[in-house]
Amino acid sequence: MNFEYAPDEVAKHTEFEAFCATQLVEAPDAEPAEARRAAVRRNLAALGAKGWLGLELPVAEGGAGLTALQAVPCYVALARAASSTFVAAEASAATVGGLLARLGTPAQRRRYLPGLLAGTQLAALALTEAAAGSELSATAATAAQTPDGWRLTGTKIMVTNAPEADVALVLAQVDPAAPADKGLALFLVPRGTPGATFGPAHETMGLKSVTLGDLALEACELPADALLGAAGEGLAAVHEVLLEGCLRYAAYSLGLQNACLDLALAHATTRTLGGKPIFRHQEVSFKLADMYALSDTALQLTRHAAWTRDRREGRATTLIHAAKLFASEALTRAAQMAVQVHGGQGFLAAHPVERLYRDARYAELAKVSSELLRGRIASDVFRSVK
Amino acid sequence: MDFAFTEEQRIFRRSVYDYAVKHLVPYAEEADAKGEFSFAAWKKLGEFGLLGLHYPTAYGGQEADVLTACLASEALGEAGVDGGLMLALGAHTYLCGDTILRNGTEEQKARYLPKLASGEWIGCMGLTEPNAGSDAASIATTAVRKGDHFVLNGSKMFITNGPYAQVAVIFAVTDKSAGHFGMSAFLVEKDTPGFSAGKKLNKLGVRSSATSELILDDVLIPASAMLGQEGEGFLIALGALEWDRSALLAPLVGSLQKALTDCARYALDRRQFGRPIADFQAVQRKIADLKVFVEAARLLVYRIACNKDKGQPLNHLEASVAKLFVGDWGMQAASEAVQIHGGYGYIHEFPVERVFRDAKLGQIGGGTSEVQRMVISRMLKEGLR
Repeated sequence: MNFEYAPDEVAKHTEFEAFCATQLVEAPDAEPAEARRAAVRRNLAALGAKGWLGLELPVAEGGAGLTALQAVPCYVALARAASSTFVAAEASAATVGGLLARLGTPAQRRRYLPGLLAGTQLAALALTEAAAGSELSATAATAAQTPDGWRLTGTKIMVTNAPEADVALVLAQVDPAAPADKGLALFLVPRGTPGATFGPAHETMGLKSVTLGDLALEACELPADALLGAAGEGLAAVHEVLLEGCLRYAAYSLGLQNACLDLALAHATTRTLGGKPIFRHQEVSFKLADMYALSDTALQLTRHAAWTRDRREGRATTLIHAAKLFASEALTRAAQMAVQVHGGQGFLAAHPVERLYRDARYAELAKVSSELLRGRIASDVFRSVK
Repeated sequence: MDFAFTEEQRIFRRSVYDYAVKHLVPYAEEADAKGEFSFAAWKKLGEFGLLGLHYPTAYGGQEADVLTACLASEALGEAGVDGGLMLALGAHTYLCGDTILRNGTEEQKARYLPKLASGEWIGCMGLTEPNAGSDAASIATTAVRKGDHFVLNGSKMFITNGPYAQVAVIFAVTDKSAGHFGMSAFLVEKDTPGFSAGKKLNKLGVRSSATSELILDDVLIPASAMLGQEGEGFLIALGALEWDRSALLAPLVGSLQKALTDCARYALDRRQFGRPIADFQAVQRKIADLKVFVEAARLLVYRIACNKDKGQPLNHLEASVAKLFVGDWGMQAASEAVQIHGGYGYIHEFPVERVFRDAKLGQIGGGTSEVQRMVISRMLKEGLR
């Protein structure tokens, strides 16, 4: 047993962290949408130029070839330095790129992966519908086979990157007669395809530099090679990337927790009350202690879960869910405490802790919600004692 | 980074679990209900070598690594051994025996360790006093040199194994003007004139361990009974903390793993409103939280043990996080375990009731949760992350 990364891994992490801290800049939320998006696109291109967008993708595909465990500190650093960039990159290069690398034909990979991994193109994974989100087997969008390929019909909502995406990967029903988990498939829908409307960006509470929108598909005709992977195996592939996404959002939660703690610590040790730093008060310093204890514990859970995932252990799913649940809820608490430590100043829109508080709120909603994670963890426990 | 145990560690853990189920658990209920230390169970611990796992073989130990010792403690808890017996083991093996092992002269080690490892003698450690708990540096017990002897006066409070211990590691002030460095450690044997134990304290939890005050009234001991050098007492006491944060926490983690398994089985069996209560999300929430607690707590405890095995000095930040998390979140988890059992969790029939009472000590013993928060926040302020 060994709780430390090897020296060569630490060196890579240090390089990555330094890059994120010094090279990635996001625009303040008050800037116009165009400026905010442009900053994220610059960040993506900078990461892509270093070969750091496909952290876990094979080197042969243009990725960095890291294990899930090796990638954890990178995602932590990225989320901390540029939260919206993390979300955009996670949805595009990591998720859609990951699916392409895993399921794509050589032609599909050649067409899309270079742009996604360079950060010059953006992809979106379109899963959620009005009546299908957490329960993807209820997907209503359909893909009907035509002589030339497929015809997609349906509406996807809440799609990260959709307003800007160059390509969307869409989950649709190919065989309504098949069992719920065997009738779905994934389709590559490039922007500009007739019948595909990439909707405008919704206003969001936080993560204001990343876009979230709907995707309407009306008699959207696609060639046969738009199908990614085998028809009927879409859901299994999506479940895999959602699981990996949970691990990445555990890391996101850690990155923002670190930021919360650093801001709160700096404020507590410099802000004075009656001539003494407010840190002297246990109501303040004990909050910092709890923030640290929670983030350190979340970090151990995340690393351990990643390690079991790399080893393809059966318990990896439960442990990834546990890590994401704990880390994201720890972040919710850390953000709350960080604002509280700042007092009224934390309520000012110009203060970084105010933005952190809003960006933090996404973690418990991303990929799989806390409520669903608890249900899944519990059902794994029940299964283990039966 | 590698979270794997060795094959040897896994096999040993399993053997401890099996042994405990067969030879130790049968004593648990009665010892807890009566609030009595079980000498029969104690003998069984000694027979399996569990009272000095990491001691050198020359002193009756098995030279186990710290991680193995943690796994053994966790296995005892998971088997359903009472918290009292496990606490008695911890105070005896680590706070007393290991303190002698680390600081004793050859003569001291040869005299005490084999008897402690076999269980023939019981050991304890006396640091806390009626007026010095969290603030351990403020102890009032004194040791005054008198020729080749020391005269000890004072009293020690909440001493696990106090009523039965044949040997006690006692901390006393040898130089009041030297602050932290004015404290020294001594080995005091049971039959020394002037040394006595107060009446056994009736406790909320870990009831099967015997706890009492120790009274030192003009106790005359030879200077050779000093443990370590004069003035080293505070550092010696800190050394015991490493065990307090690892092997002494592991039993609670094991107990809560058992509570989780018990809860899951109960929730599947227990039917209300025409279905198993496992179907209700409010129950699923508690099961999930228990599971997350156990997984997290294990890692925090193993990290201390693993780093100790590598010979690294104790990282106080990691140690306090482990103690705080196992204490506070463990209490919460134990409370949820009782809640899942409803009325049955509140009565003595079901083991979760005992786990709930035993878990409370995790927030108090060996440094309260509040002290852990003081340590963590101070280290954050000083940039020691």
